[in-house]
Amino acid sequence: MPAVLEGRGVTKVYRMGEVDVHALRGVDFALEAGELVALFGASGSGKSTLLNILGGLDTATSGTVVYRDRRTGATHDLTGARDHDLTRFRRERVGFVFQFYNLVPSLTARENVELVTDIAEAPMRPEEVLALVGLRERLDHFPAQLSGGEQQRVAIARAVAKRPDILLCDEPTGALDFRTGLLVLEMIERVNRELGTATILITHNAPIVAMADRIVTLADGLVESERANEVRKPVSEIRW
Amino acid sequence: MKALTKKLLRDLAHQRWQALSIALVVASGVAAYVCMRGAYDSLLNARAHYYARTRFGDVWAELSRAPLRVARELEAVEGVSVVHPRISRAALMPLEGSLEPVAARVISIPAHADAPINALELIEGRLPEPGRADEIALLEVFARNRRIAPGDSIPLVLNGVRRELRVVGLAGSPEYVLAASEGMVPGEDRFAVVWMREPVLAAAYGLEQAFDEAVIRLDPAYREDGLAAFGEEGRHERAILAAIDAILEPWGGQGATPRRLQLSHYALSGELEQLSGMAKTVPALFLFVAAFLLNVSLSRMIELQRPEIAVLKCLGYSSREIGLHFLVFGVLIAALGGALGIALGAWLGDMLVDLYLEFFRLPGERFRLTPALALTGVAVSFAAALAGGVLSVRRVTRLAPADAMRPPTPTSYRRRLSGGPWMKLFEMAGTMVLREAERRPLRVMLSAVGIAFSVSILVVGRFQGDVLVTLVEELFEHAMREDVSVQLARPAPRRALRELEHLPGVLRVEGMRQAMVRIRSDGRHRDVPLLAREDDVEMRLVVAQDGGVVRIPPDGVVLTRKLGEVLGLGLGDEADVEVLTGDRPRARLRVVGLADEMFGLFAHVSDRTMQRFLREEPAFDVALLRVDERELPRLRAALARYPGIAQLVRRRSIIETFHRQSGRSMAIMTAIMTFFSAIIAVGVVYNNMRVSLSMRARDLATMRVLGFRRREVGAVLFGEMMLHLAVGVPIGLWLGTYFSEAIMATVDPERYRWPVVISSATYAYAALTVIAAALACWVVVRRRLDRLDLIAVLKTRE
Ligand SMILES: Nc1ncnc2c1ncn2[C@@H]1O[C@H](COP(=O)(O)OP(=O)(O)OP(=O)(O)O)[C@@H](O)[C@H]1O
Ligand SMILES: [Mg+2]
Repeated sequence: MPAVLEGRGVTKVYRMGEVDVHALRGVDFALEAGELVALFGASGSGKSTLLNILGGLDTATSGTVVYRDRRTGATHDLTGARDHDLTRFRRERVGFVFQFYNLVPSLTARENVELVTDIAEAPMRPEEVLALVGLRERLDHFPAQLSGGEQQRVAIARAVAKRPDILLCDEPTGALDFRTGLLVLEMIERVNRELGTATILITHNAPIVAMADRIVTLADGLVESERANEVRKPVSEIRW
Repeated sequence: MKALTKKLLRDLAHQRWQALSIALVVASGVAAYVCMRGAYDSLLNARAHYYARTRFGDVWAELSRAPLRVARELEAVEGVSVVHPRISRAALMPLEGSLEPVAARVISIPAHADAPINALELIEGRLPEPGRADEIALLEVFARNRRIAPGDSIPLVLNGVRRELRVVGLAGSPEYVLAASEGMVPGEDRFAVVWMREPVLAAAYGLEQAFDEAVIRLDPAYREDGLAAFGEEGRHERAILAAIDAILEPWGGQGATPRRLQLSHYALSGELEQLSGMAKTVPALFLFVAAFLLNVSLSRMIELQRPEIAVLKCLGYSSREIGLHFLVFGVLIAALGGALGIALGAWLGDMLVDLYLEFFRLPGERFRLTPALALTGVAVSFAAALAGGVLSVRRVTRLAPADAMRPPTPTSYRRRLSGGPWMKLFEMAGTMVLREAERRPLRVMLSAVGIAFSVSILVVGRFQGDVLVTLVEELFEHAMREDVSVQLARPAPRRALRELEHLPGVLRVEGMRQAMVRIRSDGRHRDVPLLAREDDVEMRLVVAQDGGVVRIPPDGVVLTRKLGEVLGLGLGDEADVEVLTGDRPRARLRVVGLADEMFGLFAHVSDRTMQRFLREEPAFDVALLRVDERELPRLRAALARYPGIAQLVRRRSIIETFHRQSGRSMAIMTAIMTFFSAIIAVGVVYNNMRVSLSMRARDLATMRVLGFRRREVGAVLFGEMMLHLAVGVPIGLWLGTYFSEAIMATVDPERYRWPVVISSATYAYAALTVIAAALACWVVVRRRLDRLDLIAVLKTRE
């Protein structure tokens, strides 16, 4: 199967005054269609940096990142893309879920999803996606009226509503307790399975990687190891 | 509705008070513009209509006496359309119960018709009946001030003969719009204009079939309707005036005066020009503040919404869409401000116009809110919004979307200010305030600048009052120190002064000789009074701006420095001086001094030089008296017996009139400006505090959770406000002085060159008003702080 997203020799250097921080030192990474990849590694190993670059939020210092359109088969190089093209890429192809939910506080759950459906090409209906994540009853609640887990589910609904090709999740359970975290991971798994959205999931938690097709471990800005799971473990069976 | 639009409206609703406070600042700017500019336009319009309706003259020419046929000669001059020959004389009106006789001007109207030029605007009653020798029309302002009504009889001394005349009508005239006396300071109750039928006046002065003044209307093509009174002379002016002067020369012509120098018109234009100057500077200042405030609050809003902006970018919104979102926020505020401003401006403008119309005695229209004015108001408020918005919205573009992924990073505080033992002097609140100030000095500066602007506007609103007071003080303390001045119709020999010394109550007498002269140089000229004092005078001194007394050397002429500049005459140059009366002697006088007088244009010579120049014996036409106030009624009775006295002015009544008249318009101006700047002060301070509150809500909530009392938490915000005030107020006082000087610079320097003197009362007033406004805001914000929802603040990551 061809990769939807592929990075080759990706490096990222942050200039911090006198010192250069080498967050990525030449990473090769491919995400195949429909696949769920867990990105694992110690804190500071470069996971978020890689995810941002793959999602068009940031640009690599060197190397290439290529996105392949599932429908047309055309490839787009994100490396030298203009701001305008990156914006389009994010708008149409990528959904993000963050550790801190990042909902717009002045908008209700439904409206936070509408933020995306307003500008996407063929989105799902906000009510439909929110039902998918089990929030049918909380459509008109503001973020401040929702628990952390509920907010994260709204964030997932918001990321999925545009029917993205790629779902990028940066420690989506990082701020949640075990049970709530489980619920959120189930949502991600379901989206990956039912909608066939290629997903990258960053986590610190070793047990969680069992739910993925493939596990990529980063260390100090380099891919340390890469292995495939024979079978994906259903989220309901994971314990940590 | 799009979700982003909903967010916009909800943010707006959430920050409604903050938004409203900015909208009010925009409204102040627009209102100031609409009100001042509109008042200016309305007044200009009222004047134009009045002038058109009454056929206001273009040229005035006084002469001794000429037969009527000379008027037809004048009509033949190219450019002249109509000539109205008339009789115009100074007279005295010895009203009962008045300490000083009233100076009056008696003007003839044609025997059977209305005046073809400078027609009277009858306000009450009728014109004198042709053939009735005892009927007069009286200047309405004067009549009202003296409570004279049609049907009353008044005394008038015509050519030395006292007559009792019956007032049959009250009228206004374009020549006396600004109730100016012919003396230096206006006095609505001290100067009368009397209109009588021509044959009656001709008989009284022996001017049958003759005239002593011509008023002239020019062909429209030759009329210079320059709006600025003191603008450069018109294109045709010189040629026409020269032709008129040439014809009138043999008849004792005193030099023709163009409309722009006509007293009432000149004064009126001066006032309008000042209003127009204010209309240009003050609103610009306000709108600048509004734009500034909008910029600051939008930037801060963008700062506060960084995470949300980053999310929007992640979701695929472009920088342009997001930027526009915030810009619309600003534009909505501006639209609200613009609408409020136009309404407020129309309301204030109406008051202002009424005030001015009354002050100028200009009959006419009310304030008109023209579409053009309203549109400009709107455009101006949008311009302020865009100017304020665009800069801050550009930050959106610079914000990297990846920022959303990061957890809130603790901001790095330096430890420079902490640790020292002196720090223990401060409470914890003080420490927090100073740390924050140290970390974000720009924010402190911006808040302080906002505060400084409102302080400066208060200073600007009051400085004119200060300047006037200083001027009056200077003038009456040093330059005009007599108790009573007596103006003679014709110069009298110096010996006559000694006679005055023996009148009841007179303690000291000094004489002055004055003549209108034309000073020429390099093709330019100015008509100015040439003044000569006795060598040992002490009641009328030439006082410079610095308060010093200017000595007049025995030979040569001392010019007002500005006059020298205008004519290009410096020390040692020779001035070509021609007297405009009598035999019109002309001589070249060496400029031996330049005096920094505060207003007007004058030439001063020594007594001796004046006598040589005029080829006359020592004479005087103004007598300055120091008198015993208690003897004033007897003195007045005694002076009434002298026929040659044209005007008698008590210094004290000038001062009183001055204070009465300028006091009220100053009070209104101050009230308007105070109103506006209080709004600005509240806008700035309230915005600052709200922004502080939202930016530090987390810190403050955390403090509360840790067990700090409300009062202690409040102290942080309060301390911050005090810091901003401490920095802003002094800057504002300085800025206000600077703006005042800039506004003063728009005043025609040939009229006034007052130094900008600002009293400590004004400084105190400006500072205290803004501090009071800040405290009022504090009370409101304090209540908000009390209601701070701890859980909500700590839970959501805003
Ligand atoms: N904006 C930045 N400026 C400077 N250095 C940065 C920036 N972002 C990340 N880094 C550095 O790059 C390195 C990789 O950071 P990254 O956030 O990718 O790590 P991570 O694997 O996501 O860690 P964590 O699991 O703690 O989230 C770190 O050393 C970090 O300090
Ligand atoms: Mg990370």
